[in-house]
Amino acid sequence: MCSLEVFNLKKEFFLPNVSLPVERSSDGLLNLFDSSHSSIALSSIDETVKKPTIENMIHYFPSQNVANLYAERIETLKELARDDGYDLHESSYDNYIEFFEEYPRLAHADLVLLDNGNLRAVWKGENDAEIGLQFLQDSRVQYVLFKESGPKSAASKPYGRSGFEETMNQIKKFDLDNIMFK
Amino acid sequence: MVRYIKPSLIRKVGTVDGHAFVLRMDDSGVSVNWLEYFSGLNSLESFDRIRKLIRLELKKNGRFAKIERG
Repeated sequence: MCSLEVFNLKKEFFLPNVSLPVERSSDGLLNLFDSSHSSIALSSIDETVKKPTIENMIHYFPSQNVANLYAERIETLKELARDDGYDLHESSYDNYIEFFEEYPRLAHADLVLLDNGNLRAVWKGENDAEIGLQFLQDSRVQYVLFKESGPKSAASKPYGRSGFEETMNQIKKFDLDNIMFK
Repeated sequence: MVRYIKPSLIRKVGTVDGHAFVLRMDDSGVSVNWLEYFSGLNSLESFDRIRKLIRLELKKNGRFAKIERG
């Protein structure tokens, strides 16, 4: 018998001496598969598999208070969206969590829930400077950057879709990273 | 012009997220109402008319965003 808590939602995670691919079932939990991809019944090994949530990833946020604010905000947005006939896209939520894993302790961002089900985080700075990130899937975001006078180089794009690293590079080119890393 | 904004697209600070004005994949345009159409009415009366005419289900926490056009 064993008890397992999964805090890192990657394609694969590693247990001592064993590597198991992970797939998510329709009920939102994770199914474990052995190398022949036969499902291992979770109940038979008494697994407690937890999906990463803001509450159990407190160390990625600047404070307990900020983590609580995010958790409450997401719950509110989900309720508002359901009332309008749509819901938070789970892959967007996972991507949002993954972003905060990659860049922990970012300044608090305002969140909205788009009608495609994706989360969008907005960091605002002085003089209407703004960073907007829509969390897509597969570690990709759609970014929109506002700054009174941005860089002039052709390699600088104020909007686009890219992976986390390229997005952060663009944010740095616009000298907006100070808004996120206050 | 005014556009109805869903509650989930209003930021916690009370401002409208810019994404509310992005053209969606399946739409041919961004739906707005022409506030100036109701000549002779003040702003509040015009909003009231739009509330009655709009085909969307307006939510208590939804907002109208007013956009000045050039």
